[in-house]
Amino acid sequence: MQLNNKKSTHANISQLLKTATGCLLGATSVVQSEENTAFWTGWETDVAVLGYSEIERVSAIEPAISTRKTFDDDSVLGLKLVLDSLTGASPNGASQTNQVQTFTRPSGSGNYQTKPSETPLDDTFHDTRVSISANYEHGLGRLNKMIWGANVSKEFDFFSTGLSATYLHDFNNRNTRLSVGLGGEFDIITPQGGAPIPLAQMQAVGESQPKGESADERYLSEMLVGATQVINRKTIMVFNYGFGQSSGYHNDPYKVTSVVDNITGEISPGDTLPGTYLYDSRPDKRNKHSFYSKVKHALGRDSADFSYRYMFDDWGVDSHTFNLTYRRNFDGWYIEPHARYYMQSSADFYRHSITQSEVGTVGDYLTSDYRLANLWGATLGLKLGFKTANGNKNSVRLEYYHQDGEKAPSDAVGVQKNYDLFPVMDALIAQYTYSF
Amino acid sequence: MKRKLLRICCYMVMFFSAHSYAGQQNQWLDTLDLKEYKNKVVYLDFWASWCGPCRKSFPWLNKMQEKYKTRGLVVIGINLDRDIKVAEQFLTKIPAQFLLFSDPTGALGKEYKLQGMPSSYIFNGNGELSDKHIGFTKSKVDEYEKNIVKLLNQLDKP
Amino acid sequence: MKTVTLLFALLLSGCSSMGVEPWQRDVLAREDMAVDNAPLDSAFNDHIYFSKEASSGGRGFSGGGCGCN
Repeated sequence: MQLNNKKSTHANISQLLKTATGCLLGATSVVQSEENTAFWTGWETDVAVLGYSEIERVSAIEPAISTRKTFDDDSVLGLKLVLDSLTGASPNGASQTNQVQTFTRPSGSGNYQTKPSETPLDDTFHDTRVSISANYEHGLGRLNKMIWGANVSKEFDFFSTGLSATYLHDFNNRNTRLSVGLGGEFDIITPQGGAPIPLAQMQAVGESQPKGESADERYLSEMLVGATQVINRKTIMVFNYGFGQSSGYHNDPYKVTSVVDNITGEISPGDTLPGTYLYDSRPDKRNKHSFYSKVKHALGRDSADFSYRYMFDDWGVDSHTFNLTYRRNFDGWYIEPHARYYMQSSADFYRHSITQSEVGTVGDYLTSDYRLANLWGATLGLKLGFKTANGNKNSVRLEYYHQDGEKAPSDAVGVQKNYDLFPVMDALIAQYTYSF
Repeated sequence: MKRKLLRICCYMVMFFSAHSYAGQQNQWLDTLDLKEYKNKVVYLDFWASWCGPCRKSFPWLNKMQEKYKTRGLVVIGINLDRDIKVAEQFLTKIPAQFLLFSDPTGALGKEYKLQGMPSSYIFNGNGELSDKHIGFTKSKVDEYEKNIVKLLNQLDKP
Repeated sequence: MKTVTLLFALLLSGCSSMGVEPWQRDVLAREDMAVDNAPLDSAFNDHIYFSKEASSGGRGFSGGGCGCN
């Protein structure tokens, strides 16, 4: 009798209880069949679309679908699919100069030019990425569990697959949770036109291109140990230490370093191109350490989330990431302002450009990829979440990301002093999510 | 004849309204004294509105209470919400067809040395603690039910 | 590495006295108090920042919440 009355309210509660209510609404017969819910019911799904757009550079649109089900034995299965469509132009590492610059496309069968005083951007970059991941969580006892993960990702010139296993154990009446996770990843890089020979000079279209293998590999392994601790009724803290090691191909096949005249700072003439550009060269090993901490604190109906991450690696990069989110809850909706500040120091082998006299003495490794330079980034965002009449959740998020670096480095030579040598970037991020 | 018919109608109305009344009205006990339940199997279930597995357990607890009421099962849900109004709001969406008791300060929770939510403590006909378990997992309901039946079978027949 | 282990050991011993009773997790059970209450957002962000910066990861996993079952 009562079951019929509850039908409308069940629609709202069903978000949380799909398995339980699902079987009860149709309950007529007794015994086990009543308790077994169909595999296809009870999934909690999020669909989202992310739009990313850098001013005058790269744009991306990323639809994603993520779904999760808790089974009768409390095990959980999660599946996720993300599509990523990228267009636009990215800095190729070369510096601005006072002349027109010509660069050969990665395929070797075309070129593009940059006007004087403009940051050289490579616009051959049109790519679609597909990424699928799954995770399965199951209890070992009442206080401990395992989470298994697998992922595969494919884009035009890159294939990646990975596995992970994490063990979680609760102590102190579940006030403390310790976790240990291990992960491995295997990547195959197939650069368009082949992998350039590191530190070789870019040649003009029609000339023999200094390219090596058509494909190269990289292995990554990661370990993460963490602790989550309930401090009091309103506060929780997290501490993680992570260690990652990667070996194999790390070069960016599409990035070059400009060689400039020792005195004038103008681009040095190349073998077959008007300018001298050397292909990216990075070590074939990288070790990273990260220390992460977070605190979440409830303030009445609201909450604040602050996290800090310190990372350093053996390439000389070290970084600090500060993240603050404040959630202001109302009846049926919320607003969440967000701020992030990031700063990193450059890799030992990063140079914005090198002078003619340095060629040959610069060492084995050299990169002008701005992502390995001294840089800082600030993000400001706002998220709005609300429930629709049927109890399903919606959220809209808008963020602004500004990235900046050393625009006037002390080792700028001659005409270089006239330019901002760091490719400042501004990006707008917009995301809509629907949960049901 | 008319009077008899009227009486029957009256009783029917009372019967049906009592049933729906029992469904809508929550039976909150003023005191919790296990001595009041001699020769009954008492199933104490500690719950709170914010506890997910507790929500999942309610339909099953209702089912157990109804199924074994006549055999002497008494289910008592001990609510640990700090504010009883929050619990009552929860009960309008997920009703309880069993007795309830409010423990907003957690005094009973402390007394029973609760280690997790939900927690169940089952007392046999002699008022002795016979069984307990922490948590509610749907895949274990048959096991939970077996334990109840085992204790019910040990009760003195009326 | 030794300092990290020592820190963890200290953390663990100090943590045994901190926390709440199982029935005091009402606030922690709130959706916004989950360690990661918007995993899709976090994943998108991780991907963006991984593509634009030299650092990645470190965030890790769960804990907190209702503490049920």
